[in-house]
Amino acid sequence: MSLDLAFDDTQQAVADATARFCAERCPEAVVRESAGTLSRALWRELAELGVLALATPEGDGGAREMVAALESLGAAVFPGPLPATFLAAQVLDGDERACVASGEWIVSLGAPPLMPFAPLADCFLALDGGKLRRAQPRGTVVAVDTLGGEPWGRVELELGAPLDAGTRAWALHDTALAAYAAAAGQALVLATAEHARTRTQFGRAIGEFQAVAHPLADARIRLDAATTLARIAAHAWDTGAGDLRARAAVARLSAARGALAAAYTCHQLFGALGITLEGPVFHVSRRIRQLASQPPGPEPACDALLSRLGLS
Amino acid sequence: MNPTFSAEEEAFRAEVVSFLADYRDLDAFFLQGHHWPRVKAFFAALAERGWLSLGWPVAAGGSGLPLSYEYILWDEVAYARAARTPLASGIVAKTIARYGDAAQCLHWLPPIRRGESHFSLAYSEPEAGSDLAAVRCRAERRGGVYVVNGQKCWQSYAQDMDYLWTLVRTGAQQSRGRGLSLLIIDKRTPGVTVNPLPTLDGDQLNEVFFDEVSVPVDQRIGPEDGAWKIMAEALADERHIQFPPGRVRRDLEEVISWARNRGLTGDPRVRAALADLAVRAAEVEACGLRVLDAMLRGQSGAVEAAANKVIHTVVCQEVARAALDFGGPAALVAGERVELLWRQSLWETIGGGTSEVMRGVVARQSLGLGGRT
Repeated sequence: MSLDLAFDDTQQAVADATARFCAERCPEAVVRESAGTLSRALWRELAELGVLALATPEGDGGAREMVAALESLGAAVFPGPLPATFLAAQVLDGDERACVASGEWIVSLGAPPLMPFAPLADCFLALDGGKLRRAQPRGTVVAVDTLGGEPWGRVELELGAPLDAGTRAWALHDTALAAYAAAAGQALVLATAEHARTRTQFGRAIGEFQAVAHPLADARIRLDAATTLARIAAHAWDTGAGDLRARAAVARLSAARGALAAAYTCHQLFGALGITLEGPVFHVSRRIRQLASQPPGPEPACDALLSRLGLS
Repeated sequence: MNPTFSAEEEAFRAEVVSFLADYRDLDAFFLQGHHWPRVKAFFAALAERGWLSLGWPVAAGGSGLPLSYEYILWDEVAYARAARTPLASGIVAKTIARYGDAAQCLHWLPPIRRGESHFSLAYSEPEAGSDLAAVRCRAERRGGVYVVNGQKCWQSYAQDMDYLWTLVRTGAQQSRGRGLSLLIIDKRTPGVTVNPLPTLDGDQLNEVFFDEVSVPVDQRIGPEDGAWKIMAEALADERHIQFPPGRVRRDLEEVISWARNRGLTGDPRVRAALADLAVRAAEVEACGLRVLDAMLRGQSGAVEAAANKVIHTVVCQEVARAALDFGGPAALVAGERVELLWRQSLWETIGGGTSEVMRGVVARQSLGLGGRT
């Protein structure tokens, strides 16, 4: 079979089902209201679709199906620790993996003491130098508000044994992040293009001005590339390709940067509307910003890429 | 969803790579003017293998292979820095195969397939660059010939090519795109003058003057005044092999190797810059594949090709400019590849359609925005 970058019927069905679920259960109003919290019920409903079990032995599909789901989740800016959950499902075994895949457990992945989703988390995965360890909270969690509207917290953790988080687990994490971030950026670009087609100034749609149209075209080009890179990484994961880690790293770095650049462009092109709390950009841009910085940050992906270039 | 090529296609790639071993760096920076006799021999060697006509219809004497074969060939040729994609076996031949009559096909296609006839594109004029519908160079029908008068400008490789694939005005000036025709003009015809316009990479573009140049009517390809549609289709024929990602892959590898040889790769700023460029090069590769993917599924690939042209050429410049940023004074020395790359890559965002035009295509066709103003 030769080159084909489109989803097959199964993957498209996953993308469509996830998009329908988001439209019904997590429309924009819900995304906005959920800032500062995460609904366990909504998280479990997502799990019931089978999304969180993808790319596990029990799941009904691999990394390409996961990317299909995440493109829809990203477009809807669906809340929750998605990349961390896909990582956890790779490194935990048996019953624990089932708890993650079923949405019973909320996963917190970070470098203590500042831990994402800590006030809600049932499973802590601590980054400790180059190692990933199971960890248990010691004492109380002090809640922390974040730019992205995710409920984080400060907590002292007791570190357990290192987990076997190898190339495949991190590649899946990065691929998930890439697919989501690229799709969130794409959604913003499309919303801004719609605005540029309908908002008139000086007697014409502002999208007729190249100063408006060309930055959006640049954002579109980068995010199309990032979307494709995430799909390529997912294919590499499913087929066990030798350059998997670098493929996933490239996708993660491309998507985060492309989505951030798109977010800044879109804030600007919406004018004053773009800086209002109720406006159409911030509920997406804050999530993109958080995603780009969230632990472990871009450094491991950068290192993986440099290693591939022979610069380790 | 499968971003890889088939086993047969990969076998073809291996054959191409093996063939190219003798031609690596033949025309490293597309300074064809300096290397023409050798580039010409390279095209003849490609022709010997039938590789100049891989994607031509079988009826036109080609192999009729899927577009992926041409993509693979020219991607590897670009990576090997052997040559730029030639005009003759691409736009010219495919247009003649589509629009030429039987006699024209018989006359023009075999020598092109054998790598013996070479063409330069003569579209742009001093007052018609991005806006080709403003072409003024005039062809007037007098009996069995067109008499051509006027000027073309910015022609690549015209100094060495045999023929000019020339866009001329046959209708009224105000007819814009509706009054244009395509003529093949033999460069040796009396009244044709080619003057060099030296470029900052050490090569040249050309300006071409036509003074009462007689061109037989049977050297018009397609209907009179019908060039606009033909040109658009001809561009579509070549979208998958214009700006292949192998060029950028090779640029990056050379800059990394250059930085390593000068002991720069321990510097965290250099490492960060190289990682960033590697991400950009991967984006370029993804955009190249997106063009081919669109065309393989029967779509025009116009948006994908415009996007690819923008990102490919911008990243060419980013790679070169980063090397000069972190390379220190050593990078300034004349003859260093990074120094030449810095100069040469300035051309890329202009030739073959400026970035501004390409962003306009993406804005219009991908986002529904009117980007003309």
